[in-house]
Formats: sequence, C-alpha cells, structure tokens
Amino acid sequence: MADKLFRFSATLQINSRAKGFVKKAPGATEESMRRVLKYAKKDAQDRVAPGKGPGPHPHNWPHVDKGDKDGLMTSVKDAIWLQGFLTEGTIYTDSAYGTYLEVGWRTKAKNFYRYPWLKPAFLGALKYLPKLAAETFRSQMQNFPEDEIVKDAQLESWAGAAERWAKDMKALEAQAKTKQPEIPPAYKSHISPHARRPLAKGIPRGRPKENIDLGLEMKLDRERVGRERKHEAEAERAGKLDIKALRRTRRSSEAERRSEIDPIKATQQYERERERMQSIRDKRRKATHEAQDQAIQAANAKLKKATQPNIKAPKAPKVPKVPSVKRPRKKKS
Amino acid sequence: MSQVDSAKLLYAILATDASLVAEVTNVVDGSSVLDLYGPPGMPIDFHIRKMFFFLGDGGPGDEELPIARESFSFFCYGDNSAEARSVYRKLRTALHRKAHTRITIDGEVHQFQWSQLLSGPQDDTDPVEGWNRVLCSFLVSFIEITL
Repeated sequence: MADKLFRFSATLQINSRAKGFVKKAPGATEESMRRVLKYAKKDAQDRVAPGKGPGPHPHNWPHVDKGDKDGLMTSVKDAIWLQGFLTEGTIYTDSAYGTYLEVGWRTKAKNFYRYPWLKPAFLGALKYLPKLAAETFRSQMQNFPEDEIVKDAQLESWAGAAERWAKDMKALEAQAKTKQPEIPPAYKSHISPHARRPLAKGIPRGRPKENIDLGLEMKLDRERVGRERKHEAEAERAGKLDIKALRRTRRSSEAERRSEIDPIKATQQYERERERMQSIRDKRRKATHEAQDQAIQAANAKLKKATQPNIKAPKAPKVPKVPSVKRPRKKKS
Repeated sequence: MSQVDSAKLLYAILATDASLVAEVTNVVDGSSVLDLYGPPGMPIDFHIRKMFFFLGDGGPGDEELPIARESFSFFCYGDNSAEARSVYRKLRTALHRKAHTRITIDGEVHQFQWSQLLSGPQDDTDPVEGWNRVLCSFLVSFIEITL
C-alpha cells in the first residue's frame, strides 16, 4: 500500500426520492450535504491538526505535520456527487499516513495502536444532519411559495392547450383551402327525406297531413279547454258556479262510471251490439241485392223483347257427300 | 439483569464456532494457543501467524427496543496474504448473517440478534512490521441487557 495510490474516504448518501420536496426545494439536498460535510471536515481536520494525535507514529512515513500542504490536515478534502435523486458526499484523504492512523498499526514497541480521526468526525457530524436538512429544506420551501408551483403547472397546461389550439387552427385552414364549403345543417332540414324517395302514384309528397291535423287538433283542444276554464272562472266570480263542487262532481262521476263498468258484461254487450249491427247490414245488403237482381232481370227481359223479333229462320238445303279419293303411295327407290 | 459487554459477548460467540477456533488455534512452544483476541487487540509478544482480533467502533442503539447495534473492526493476520484471507473467510462464515443465538456467560443469558458484514475485506500490510492482514468490519446487534 504505497502512498498516493489509494484514497481513504468516508461517504454519506442522501436518497431523496420525494418528488415534491425536490421540486419545491431543488438544491436543498445538495446544500444539506454540503453543510454536513463542512462540519465533518472541520472536525476531522481538528483531530489531525499539528500538535495533536497519538504519541507513537507509523515511522515509515514522515508524520511531522506543520499545517502546510504536505501535512495530513490540509490533505483532508470533501466532494459532492449529484446523481439525480441520490446525493453522495465524501471526505477523503490521499495520505497513507492518515489511513494508518485510522486503521491501526503495530509499533516498534510491539503495541497495536490506532487513532480513528475520520470516522468519529463523520459520525459526529451526522447527528447534525436532521437539523441541517430540516433548516435547509424549510428555508428553500418558504422561498418557493405554493402559488409559483401552481402557476408553473398552469402555464404548462396553458402552453399545451395553446399548442393544440394552434394545431387545430392549421388543420382547419388547410381544410378550408381544399374542401368546398358544406351546406349548413339549417338548410338541410328543409329538404324532406320523402322528396328523395321514389313514390307510387297518388301518394302526395311531403309530410303526412295527419301530423298537421293532429297538431291543429291539439292546439284547438287547448284553446277550448282554456275557453271553458275562462268561462268557469267568470261564472265563479259572478257567483253562478261553484267550481270546486263542479270538479268534485266530475271526479266522483268519473270514478262511479269507472267502478260500474263490468268487463264481462261490457264484452257481452259489445258482442250483442256487433251481431245486431251485422244482421242489420246483412238484411240491408240482401234486400239491396235482391232488388238489384230483380231490376236487372226485368231490364234484360225488356231488352230481349225489344231486340229479338219473333221470326223463324229458313232451313238450309242438304248437300250430298263427296266420296274420298286415296293418294297413290310412292315407291321406294 | 445487567448491561451486556458487547466485546465479551462477541468473543464468546466467536469462541464457540468450532471451525473458526480450529483455524486460529496455533501451537506455540509445544502448547496450543487460541489466537483470537478482543480489545485492546494484538498481544505484545505476538509473532506473525494465523490470528485475528477485533476492536469496537461503537454504534447507536434502538430508540424503543433494548437492542444495541455496534460495529466492530476485525484484523485478520497470517504468514502470508493467503493465510490472512483464509482466516477472514472462516470469520465471515461464522459471523455474516448470524442470527438469534442465545449464549450463557458467567451464569447470565445473553441474546445475540444479528450480525452482518459492513465493509471489507480489504487486503493490507502493517506499515511497521510488513505483515499481511485483511481488514473488515461487522455490524452486530444484541439485546443490551442479560435475560
């Protein structure tokens, strides 16, 4: 283990995975580490300052420390590495003499000595870490108010929305240049779907009239009811009508009418009525048909008498039969 | 019940490991010597052979439970680097991830909870004598009072 070929270090890692803290206090972890290392480095340098240390020394190395650049005290340095959420702080020395003080050695007097100076200094400074970290994070978070975070988030969202809006506008402009303007929906509604359909003869185009009549009837019905209510109100004001009693009467009569209806009796009555009406229609049809037949027969008879004279036709003379003649057959060649 | 001496407990734990004891038991002047030492470390009349000793580095206890967690530095020596490494391997086998061992020392029951390797192994040479050694440290936790 030669001098200047190794580095003796003590390392502290702070793992800050809380995104909220990192965002609100971006440099707090590094600052906390720096303050802890400051304490540790000062303590370590105090422990190996000139005039301090163990009585025996590892005599293979010059151990006279005058506080200059070759001494152990000045060789103690610190460093910080930022690796995302991981912050690593180190106190180190390149002096082998400092290393053997820390680790221990066997002296020429056959005693084993060691003089820990870096690890106790580091452990001593670590107890300040919670306090220093709390102070640092608190101060940075107070200087970084909540409104600014919200503002940043809002600005980001606004920027995204503006970007999307600009994109949509470009697409619309390109569409307006290439495509013909479409007919607005308001004009489309005037074109009836019935007009486009091939129709049979006799079926009028356009909407069915029943719908129009139904709407008109409903309108008239509403007007009629309004008029009746208006008259009833005028009669009530004049003292001629008790409208509450009238409504009670209407409700009670309707209820009585509904309660008196027997479905079986009503069905039987309907059947009887239907048969009666059917028989009447049959009698009428029969009578009509018989009268029509008699009239037709009378007319035919009258016409026959008028168009056919009572004259006998003369008999045709007898024609003698002609005898049949057979054709001769052709001989086969 | 009394407070546990961590070095005493650790020495007892290591001295009960037969493989480790066999590794560091040497014959000196016709008699076998167990070269396993605790604080203050290496004896004055020691000459290089398979040996290891440990020194306490301290450590925090638990805030709520009566459990102490201390770290110890171990110095494994040998006639050469390979022997020092051999001692380290036996030590590591005996102590790394050792858990829940109850041991009686002077009539008092001690509860050993857990131990694990903290740093090392690091090959080194004693700066004065030039002896080969392997440095390592272990974290040891135990019930801080006797049962």
